[in-house]
Amino acid sequence: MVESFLPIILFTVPIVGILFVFMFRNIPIKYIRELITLLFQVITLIIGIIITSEVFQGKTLTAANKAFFVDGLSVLMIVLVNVSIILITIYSIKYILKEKELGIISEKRITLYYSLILLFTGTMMWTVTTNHMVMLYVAVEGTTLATALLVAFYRTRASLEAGYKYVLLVVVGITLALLGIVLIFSAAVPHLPEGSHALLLTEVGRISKLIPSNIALLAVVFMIAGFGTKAGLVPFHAWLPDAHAEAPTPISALLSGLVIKVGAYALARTVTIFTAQHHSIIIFIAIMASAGMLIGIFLAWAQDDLKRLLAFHSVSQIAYVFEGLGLGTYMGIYGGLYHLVNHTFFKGLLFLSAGCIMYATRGKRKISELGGLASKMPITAFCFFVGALAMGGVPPFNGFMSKFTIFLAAGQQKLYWAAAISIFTSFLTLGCMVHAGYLIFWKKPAKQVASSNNPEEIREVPFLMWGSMIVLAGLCLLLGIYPQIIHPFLDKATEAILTIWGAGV
Amino acid sequence: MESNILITLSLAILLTSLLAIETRNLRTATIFYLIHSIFLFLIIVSYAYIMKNPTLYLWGLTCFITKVVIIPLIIWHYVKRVPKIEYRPFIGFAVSIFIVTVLTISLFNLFQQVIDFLAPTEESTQEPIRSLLASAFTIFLIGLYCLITRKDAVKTVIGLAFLENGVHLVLLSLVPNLSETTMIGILTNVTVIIFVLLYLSRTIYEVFGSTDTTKLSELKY
Repeated sequence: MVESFLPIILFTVPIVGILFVFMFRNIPIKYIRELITLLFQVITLIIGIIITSEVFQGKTLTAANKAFFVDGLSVLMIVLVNVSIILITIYSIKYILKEKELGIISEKRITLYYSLILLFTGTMMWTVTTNHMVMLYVAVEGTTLATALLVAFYRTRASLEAGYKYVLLVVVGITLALLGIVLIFSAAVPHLPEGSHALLLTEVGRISKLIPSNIALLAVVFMIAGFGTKAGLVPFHAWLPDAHAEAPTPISALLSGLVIKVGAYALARTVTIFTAQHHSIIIFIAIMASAGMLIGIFLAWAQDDLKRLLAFHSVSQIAYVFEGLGLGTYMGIYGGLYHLVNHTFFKGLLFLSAGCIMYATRGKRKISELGGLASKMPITAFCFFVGALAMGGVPPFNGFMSKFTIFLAAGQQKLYWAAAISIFTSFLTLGCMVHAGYLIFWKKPAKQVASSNNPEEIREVPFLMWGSMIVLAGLCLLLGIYPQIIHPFLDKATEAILTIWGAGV
Repeated sequence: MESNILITLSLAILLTSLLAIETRNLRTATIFYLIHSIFLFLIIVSYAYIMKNPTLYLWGLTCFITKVVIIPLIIWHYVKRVPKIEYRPFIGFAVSIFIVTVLTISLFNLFQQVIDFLAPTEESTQEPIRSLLASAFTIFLIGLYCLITRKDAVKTVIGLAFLENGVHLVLLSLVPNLSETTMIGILTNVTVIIFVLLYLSRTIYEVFGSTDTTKLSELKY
């Protein structure tokens, strides 16, 4: 372990960026706020890459008396978060500008938008570098608060409701997780030498075998419920479709790509510590995940609203991540993390495509009102299908590789029923996405819609928007064809989880 | 004698939480919530005195600033702008009082008995921590009951605060050696959450004229 100040700088840089956005917002340079936001995000990414190279040399960085701790899993999350958030910000520039031109939002709110994105980046960096169990709770709450006002950004009735529901449900859930954390902590204190920091995840991991099993199981149930709420695991997913549907579309991509992953990350950090001793946790998570997959996909088939449809797919897909992480084996955790990364890319891509459709058609998002867009928006159509096929698990896209790993890992643990449900859900996902894509891009639009909207108006979106989508689509293909690129990251991250609970590899 | 003070205070905190939930007038409910927080503060201070743990005084001070001053002020600021009486809950007044009283007494007794299962260490099964833990878990569940049965945004927030106070008491009785940053982190967090929730709710009220959270029905499956 090496003491380093980099983890602290990592999360303070975006927070300092907020000050700059506010200070320079009135300077008469076009896109000044966007540029400052991007500048600070790029700086964060560069610091993240420096940290990554340190970790890849076999070091683990700690800061502030081990309160911050960067290992393979943190590095994976740092790079993933920064890359996708930069793409989402680039996409936002034109999207938010158009909202302003249409009079949906005011000039002031654009400043708020970018500062909240920076705040979210900061809290996210804090979440993935903290080693302190209670601070993990505080940081996860921080990500909720940073995105709450983004969900309610339009201040329409529906979006305010969605924001209220989001904050309330997630906060209640995370409070349950806090109770679990407190129980674990108090059970760990007597087994630690005097004066050591029992609240540190690394310390708890070492003595996890000494914690009485009743306390451990009770705490794990609380933590699964708590972090499951944040991740949108069924039956705690009620906030997810509303928040995803009512937020501005780039924020939907952010919610689906990153915010719900916080729950999975926290689960990987805490609950997996106990899977080695208690086989019942593996079964419990597998049941929850299977229920989540099925309910998510059935509800997705029932949607007409494109964004709600994608939101329910998130409910279904995050269950794959949970299943993988919950298996507690090297292969399971590897598959879960791989799917976590892939889901960020393909779901981000799908939400951004939905955003392009709304951009071009002036906010239409009902599938029944859309149709025949393929000829007018070829790049969007291409990107949408890359995302759809990746999510459906078609080779050679990335979704196939990660899902296949999870199927194999479930089989390895003799959970054949769970593997069967995952494969079945995968087919349904593919069907649902291809069906939706067909209706949006090739089917002739309904008559009344065609007459009310001049079809000549619909054009391909500006370069900044499709450019960031093409990058995401490229990543989806690249990670599917050359998984070797992402393998060192995933290997390090999986090892990090296994090392914490002492299993080692 | 000293542990008697703690037991009395933990019963008082239960009673005030019941009153805050059951009172229909939102202003009175806020005042009961304030009294509840003052008792919480007193518990921390007397616990610090009994355990001779000076770091807990700082905890008490932080708790006083956030829970006794700021949060009631935020709620009061909101309550002044909305109708005085809360929206009718799902359960009638008499029934609710009956349910919540039975629930509290039975839960408190239950937790007193099963504390050996819940408490991880030997010393936490002894008085006064035993009663403190029992009332902590009871307040947690009362908060959950409030969240489930009440429609009004103020009551929802109060329920949430109870939920959090319950966890806070568990934290106090099981891990009194918490570092200051952690404690300040948790307390600041709760304050900001309550502010954001009431801010959103107030905007909904100003635009649409209702704070009934069940009428938030624009969004369905």
